[in-house]
Amino acid sequence: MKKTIEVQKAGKIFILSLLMLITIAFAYADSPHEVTTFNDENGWKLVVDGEDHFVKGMVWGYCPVGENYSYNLWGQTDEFIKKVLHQEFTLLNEAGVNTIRLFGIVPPRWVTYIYEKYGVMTIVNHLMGRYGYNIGGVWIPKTNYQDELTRETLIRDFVAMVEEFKDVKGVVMFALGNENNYGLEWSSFEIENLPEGERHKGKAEYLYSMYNEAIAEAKKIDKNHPYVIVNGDIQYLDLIVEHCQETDILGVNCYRGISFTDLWERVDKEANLPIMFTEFGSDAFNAMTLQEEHLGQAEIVKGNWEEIFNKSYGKGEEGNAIGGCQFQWRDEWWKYKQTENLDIHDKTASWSNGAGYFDFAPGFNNMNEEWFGICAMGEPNEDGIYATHPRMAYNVLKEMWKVEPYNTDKKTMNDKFAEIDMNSLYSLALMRSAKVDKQKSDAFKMVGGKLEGDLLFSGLSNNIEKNGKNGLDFSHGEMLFLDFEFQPTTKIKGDFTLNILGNVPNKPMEEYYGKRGETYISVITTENEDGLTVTTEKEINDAERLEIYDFELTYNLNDYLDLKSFYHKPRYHWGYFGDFYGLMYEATDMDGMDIWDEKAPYGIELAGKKSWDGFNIVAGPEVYWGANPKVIGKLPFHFGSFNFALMHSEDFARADASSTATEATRRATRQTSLYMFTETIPRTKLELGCLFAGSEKIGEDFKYYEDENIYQDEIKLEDTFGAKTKLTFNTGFGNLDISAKYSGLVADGGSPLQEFDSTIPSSEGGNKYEFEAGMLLPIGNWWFLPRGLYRKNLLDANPIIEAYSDGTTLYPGLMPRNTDSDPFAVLGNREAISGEFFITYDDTPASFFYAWDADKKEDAGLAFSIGGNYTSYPTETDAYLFYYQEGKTNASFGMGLPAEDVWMAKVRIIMNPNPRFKFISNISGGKQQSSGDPSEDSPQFITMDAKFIFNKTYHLSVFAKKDAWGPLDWYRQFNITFPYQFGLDYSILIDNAKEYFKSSRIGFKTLFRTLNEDSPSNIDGLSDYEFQSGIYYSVNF
Amino acid sequence: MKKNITLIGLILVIAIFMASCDRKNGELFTGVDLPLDFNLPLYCENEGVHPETCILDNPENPYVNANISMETVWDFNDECHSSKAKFYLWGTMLANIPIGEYQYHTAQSLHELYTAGGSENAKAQAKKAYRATLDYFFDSVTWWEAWWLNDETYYAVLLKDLVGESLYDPSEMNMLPLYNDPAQALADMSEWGYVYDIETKTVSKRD
Repeated sequence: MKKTIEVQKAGKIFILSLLMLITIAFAYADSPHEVTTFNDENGWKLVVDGEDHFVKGMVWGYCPVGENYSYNLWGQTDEFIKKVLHQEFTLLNEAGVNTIRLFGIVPPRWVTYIYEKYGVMTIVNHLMGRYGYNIGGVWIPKTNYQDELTRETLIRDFVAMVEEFKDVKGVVMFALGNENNYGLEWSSFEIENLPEGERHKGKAEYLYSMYNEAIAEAKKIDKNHPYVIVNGDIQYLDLIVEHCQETDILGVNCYRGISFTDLWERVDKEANLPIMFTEFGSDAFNAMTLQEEHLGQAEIVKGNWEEIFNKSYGKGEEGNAIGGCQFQWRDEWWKYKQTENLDIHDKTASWSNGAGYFDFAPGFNNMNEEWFGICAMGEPNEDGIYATHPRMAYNVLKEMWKVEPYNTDKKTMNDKFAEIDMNSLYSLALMRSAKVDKQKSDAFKMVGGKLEGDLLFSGLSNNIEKNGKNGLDFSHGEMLFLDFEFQPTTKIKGDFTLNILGNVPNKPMEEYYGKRGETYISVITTENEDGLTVTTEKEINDAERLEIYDFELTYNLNDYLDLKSFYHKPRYHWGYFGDFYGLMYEATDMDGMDIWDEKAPYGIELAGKKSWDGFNIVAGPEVYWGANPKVIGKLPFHFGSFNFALMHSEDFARADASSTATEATRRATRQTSLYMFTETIPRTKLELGCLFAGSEKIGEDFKYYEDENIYQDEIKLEDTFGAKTKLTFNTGFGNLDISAKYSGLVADGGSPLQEFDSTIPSSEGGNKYEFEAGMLLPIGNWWFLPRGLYRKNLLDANPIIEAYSDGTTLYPGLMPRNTDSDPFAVLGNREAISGEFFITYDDTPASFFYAWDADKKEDAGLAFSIGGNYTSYPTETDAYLFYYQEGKTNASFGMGLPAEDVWMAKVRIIMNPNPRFKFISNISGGKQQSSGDPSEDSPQFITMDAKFIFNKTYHLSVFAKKDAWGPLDWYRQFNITFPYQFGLDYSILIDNAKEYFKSSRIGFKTLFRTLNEDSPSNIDGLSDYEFQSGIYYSVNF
Repeated sequence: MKKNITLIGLILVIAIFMASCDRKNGELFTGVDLPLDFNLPLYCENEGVHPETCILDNPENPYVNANISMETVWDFNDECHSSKAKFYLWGTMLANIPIGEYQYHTAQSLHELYTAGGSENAKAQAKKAYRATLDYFFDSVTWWEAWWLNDETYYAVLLKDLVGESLYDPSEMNMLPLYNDPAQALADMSEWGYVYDIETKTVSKRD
């Protein structure tokens, strides 16, 4: 009996053991790798599937010229990706790279592809909110690791990432963050209550404890890979030890120069963790000589790796080095400024670091962000793939990585390093550079240009019917742009473009750049021998063939200030940097300016940097499109947990002409604003602002109408003040914003900041109370965007009351005000009740649907927004002004726009059904008012446009409009519509760049519209339609 | 907590400030007495002479803010008993809508003011205003009613010829001459670059 029981026991034990073995076997069955760390008295090693794996790593990425961090290689065709990988990993393989680290997430199938085809393993890295994160459906730019929802979201997403990758072949480890300890910028009352020196440390505790929780959760589902936190140097090492015990490897981004100094010893004594560098290296540009620096970079790289090898397992030293990832593989041309000058390899050194010994001097910026590659970027090949050109550092690494540290003794290893012939590698690099770099001089050089041309014909139906072919007008045009750059000293750099005109084409249905060269009649007035004034007319047909199209110069004054001069270069608003009242308008519509030969923005700027970042003074004749000559300045400062920005704008004259053909000039004025915001309340941003504007109008008379009487008053000091508050609250399931504004009669701000393509008629004009509220409610890939606005004027627009007289007394009546004759007018700031609701669907939220360049960047299979706006204007406006060209003065439309309800419905669709095809379409319809002329009814219109892009090479655009205004603002200003308008544009990109605005292309374009008796071109009233067709080309070089 | 209360307090202060502002506290505006005298102090040297628009800034000008249109201006002219008021009426119209007809009537008003009260300012300003009609609006016309026809019919009259007559011999217009000697009027016009034919009563440009 006892035996039976024992047998039964033994059987149970056997079965249990078997079950355990099966369980363990299953646990590892799906896992393609077992990656662990190994530690004994000789140090640490990383072991992959039982084999030692010394990390010969590279921070790798592929980003072509003209793109930035938002470029998504993995959204391209498989064929293209494979070609890129072949180019890149052939070189990486030759160098001996066995591991890569990327800042973006590589799709699992490509991780496996890279591993199986090239033998390179991938560190899968979640940035853990380093550059902001979507919390509760809302983008939070400064991640608050103290916030519970933020922690939950990040941990949840990290664990989800581990779940997705844990069974993927080729994954070597999971990394968290990217030196997030350098970005602890959030505010909270608890943190602010700590002594100043302790505040960041307090925040760091939240960061590391969150990492720890994330790793602990991840280990519940995957113990086959180690976890590494990516820290900025070894800052807060004590906190890491205390709060992040789950980490298996200490990842360090380290830029200490040719040696890592005491880092090994400190980590060995204080943390007992293996060290893997997740970033380290040197730039390859000498900021002193303004030359590419092969040798300096290579010497630093060599010194770094010698130290890593010597600190590895079994070399008799700390033994805690398990390798590193060199920063970085190839130069990235977007790094400086990140969204600007993406096609320029910028040589601006943006920070100072003694690590770059070859160009370091105290107080001198020597780190060139766009030159950190051990390879340079070359020209695109026939597939549009930008070539990779190894620098000297690449060849040095290639030699060093031939050494396997775990089976080579220390002396042999170091002897091999000493044998590397730096002189011959340097010569090789110089020869290679000379071959690649065709540019002769960095002090002044031509960097490119383009030749554009048109060949077209056009006509009016009446002329064609009467005269047949002779009724057609044929013309052609050519123009040349030449781009130049200069950098004569380390402190001065700039660029400019020359425009040279050939023939000027006749495009009757378009406004276009180059009309300055059209033939015109000049009236010349002289005095004859008798002293009499004589006028003669002369035909001028060779005017202004050459002009400077744009120009920019930057002078690095010191560590804190740059002096810039700009002429027709795009400039952005300061709405996100303390300009709560929109005093600085955006000036980025260069094509819009070009057609009027406008050269805005034009001026000089003193711009702060480093600790002075945000300080700006801009002055000039036209610092944004339509600006009066003015100076405008901004001073940000902090007080406690509050952030402030003080701004002042002072017009010192009035513009002497319109900035278009019909846009009215504005009276010179002055404005001062103070802005404050705080985020100390969790998930809440509170913004407050006040405005003092239009003080030059104090004492000016105005009239208003009330209870059938006319009243007269004058502008007083209190009419110049405004106040505004905005509360943005992250509810956890979406973002809610509420704002309230009060503006005195003449307290005019500038341009309102509108986001998400909102059509709400917000205004920063004076004479109003305004309340606005909106939500961003995300549910999965859907966004719901309701928004409402209510605005009431302090004083309404003036009605028309006829004057009369009894012969001795004049009863002047009343006219709608205008902004020239009166201190204020009710225009865009009119009383309004407005509501809108939009629904957006985007299956790839990482590419922002509402980005200005979404046409190009949105990579969703399907993304769309649909919705509409309904606005009631219960009162009329005062009179708008327009610019009367012949009189060279403003003129009033005399009457205001009537009270009316208007509406608009919009649909926008972007589709990428496959990487070879993109479709973009916008459809809108509605009833809207003119922006000036009240004499005709408001049109009800419908418009549709669509763009088809095939293989990034063939671009087809079409549009159709019914009862819509013409293509430029003045058509709406004068309420000029056309019964039908149609357009078609087909072009083929004929070079490898495959970028519409940068590639050479040839195309065909035709415009057609039907006319009515009010159409400006229908002078005799006899034509039914007009058209314009032609071919065009643009050759870039 | 203290800071929360401070922030809410700040918002409340703004809300109260906004709610307390009532801007409808002006004075009732009735009428403006029209000037009936014959003096003409000039607000600027070329007041009433295109392209100068300082008449719009002249506090003596009663018409600055009056709602008078191109249609109703004729009624105001007919109802007005003061040539000085007419000068302000037409000068204001000219400054707002610079056309020859308004320049000519501004000159006429000045001429009438001189005739009525002997203002030397009005006399000198009338000459300038007539010259501006020739210099800037040489081909402009005004419209006269064909009273001898039953229908309301108008015909065009060239302003330049009316200017010539007003300067050379305004007696048929019941106005005093601006020149003691008509020959001086011809000489001035010649110096300005114009010829007045006393036979045909027409003005032409000198070559």
